Amino acid sequence: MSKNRKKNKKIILFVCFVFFIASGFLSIVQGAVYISLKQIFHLLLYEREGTLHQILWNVRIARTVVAGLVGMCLAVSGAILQGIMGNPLASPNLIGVSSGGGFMACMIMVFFPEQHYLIPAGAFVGALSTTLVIYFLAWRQGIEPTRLILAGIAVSSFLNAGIHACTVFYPEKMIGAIGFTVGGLAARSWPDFWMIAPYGFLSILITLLLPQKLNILSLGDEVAIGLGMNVEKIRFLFIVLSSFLAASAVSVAGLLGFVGLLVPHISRIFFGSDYRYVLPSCILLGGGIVMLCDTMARCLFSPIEIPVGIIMALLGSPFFLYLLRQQRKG
Amino acid sequence: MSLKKRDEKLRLCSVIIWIILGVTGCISGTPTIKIEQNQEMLSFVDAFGDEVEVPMHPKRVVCLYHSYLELWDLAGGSVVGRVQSDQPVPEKAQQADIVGTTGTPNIEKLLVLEPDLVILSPTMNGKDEFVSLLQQQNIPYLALRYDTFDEYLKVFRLFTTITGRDDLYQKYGEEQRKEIEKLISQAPQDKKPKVLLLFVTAREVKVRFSNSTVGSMLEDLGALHVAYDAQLSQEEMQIFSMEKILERDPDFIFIQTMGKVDQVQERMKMELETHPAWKTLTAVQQEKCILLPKELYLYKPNDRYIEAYEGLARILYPEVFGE
Repeated sequence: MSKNRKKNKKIILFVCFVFFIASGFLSIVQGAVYISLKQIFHLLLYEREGTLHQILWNVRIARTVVAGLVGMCLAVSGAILQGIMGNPLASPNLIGVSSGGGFMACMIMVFFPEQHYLIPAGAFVGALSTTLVIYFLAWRQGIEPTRLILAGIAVSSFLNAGIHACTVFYPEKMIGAIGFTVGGLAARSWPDFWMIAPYGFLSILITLLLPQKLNILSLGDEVAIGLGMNVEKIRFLFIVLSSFLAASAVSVAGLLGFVGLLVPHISRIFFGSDYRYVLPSCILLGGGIVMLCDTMARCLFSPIEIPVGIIMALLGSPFFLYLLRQQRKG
Repeated sequence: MSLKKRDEKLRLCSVIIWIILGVTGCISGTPTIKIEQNQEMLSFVDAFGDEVEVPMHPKRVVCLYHSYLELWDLAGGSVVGRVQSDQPVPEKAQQADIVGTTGTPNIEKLLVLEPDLVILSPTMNGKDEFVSLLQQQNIPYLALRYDTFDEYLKVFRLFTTITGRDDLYQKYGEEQRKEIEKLISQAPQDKKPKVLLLFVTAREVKVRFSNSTVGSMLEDLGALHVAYDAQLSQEEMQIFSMEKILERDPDFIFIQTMGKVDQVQERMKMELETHPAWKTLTAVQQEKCILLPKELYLYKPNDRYIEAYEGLARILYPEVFGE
């Protein structure tokens, strides 16, 4: 029985892998400019110059890779937080990543509009420092998840009020902020990828090495301490990891709320709470979903693009509700 | 799944998203102005499509949208109230009371001024609540919008009719029109340079179409917008496919920005020249990316339309209009 279940999980994981590859493939094949499959191979292998090669390599493939990485980072970040907080509603927003990143971006837009190139780096620093502030505010001889969540909500509300105040007092400077809060990948290319890749991949790798620790933490503090785990240290490590992941994603793609919250749940519907499966499936599903939705965002109204966050929320939420109903029937 | 079915589903998806975008207000109407005049009142169809009446020669005008204050001033009008703004304020309006900002005008301060006409923009925040409040209080209001030079002429005609200053219409309307027509007739007809007009904000880059102020000027001068097929309805700008920009390879890239132009210039140049995709464009390589000065091309040029047209003509056709 158990052997069968394990085999089933591996098959589902393989299906997730196929979905990831298919999304990536579709994202590379489809675009505003038609390039046939044969041409794509030719352009990648032989013809390394010319407009079509530029379109394929520096626009389409670069963006696909950024989309995939952003999706992976957000989904893993959400999965970690839901595990260590023992709360199904935990998401990168909760530890102040969105509000911190958004607030910093707003400050730059309002006070240093000429230095707008600082926004990605600023959002990253804002996200990370907000997480640390929330962590230390919630600290009282250790961290209790509920207190951390409440501190997160309070700090986020405070920063969000700051963001709204900016839009009220400086509406003309905040035009770009809408793009930031909905989340989009337009005009992202290799520099964006190289900016977040070191943090993203390293954090994902470290997380993938520690699924058992997450499994134990999600059983609750008492059990974890009973099993000899230094709960505080491990939890702090995971919070920093998830903040790094989400901050990287937010700094290039804005706030894609859906992925961090719902993709871990979709994984859990398939795999239960075993992080040895949840983490890899989050990587595959998160990356796949963002690449797929971004392809639609680029192609539905081509040559106009719409922010990927809109597509994700429009298609993702009903799909997730469908999965929830299926699970209840099951 | 058969191809036909797949297409159908895709189309259905598009339709659903279309409807949502439509409902959330991404699609707005074009302004039409029809004027009917009697001795004391002037009635016309405003930007909301409603027929409204405003008094001739109003004495206590409040302007809630800064861009229109300049035009009202140009039409010989004076105001008792205006909104706060970073942009230069016409001399006559400097002593006027400030009734908040464009985003959040203060209704109490407005009512205390007892206006006999309120000028507002159909695109400003909270305009619906504002308009219904003005209707309740029986305060006449003007909600107009203009982007192209033709629309400028129509709105200016209305303003000068209200102020009774036809001489100013002749000076800043008719005379400018004649000069501009002359300028356009001098532009080479066969050259059709490909242009890309960008609106760059802190977070994203959008393409502006031929219905925007600068977009229409470029089109008038015979340029071809590379984003000619990207407009869904009446909107002025959209996020445009980078792939199409590379494919159509514009001859000129015009850039509008909210930032301070001289401070942004170097940075923008470096960004374009180092970005893997942008740097391959002919316009970037030949240094034909032009950051447009704000006072002529971001705000409405109004009495400086000729200067604005000339500036663009010199960039597009230096052989005819000189560097």
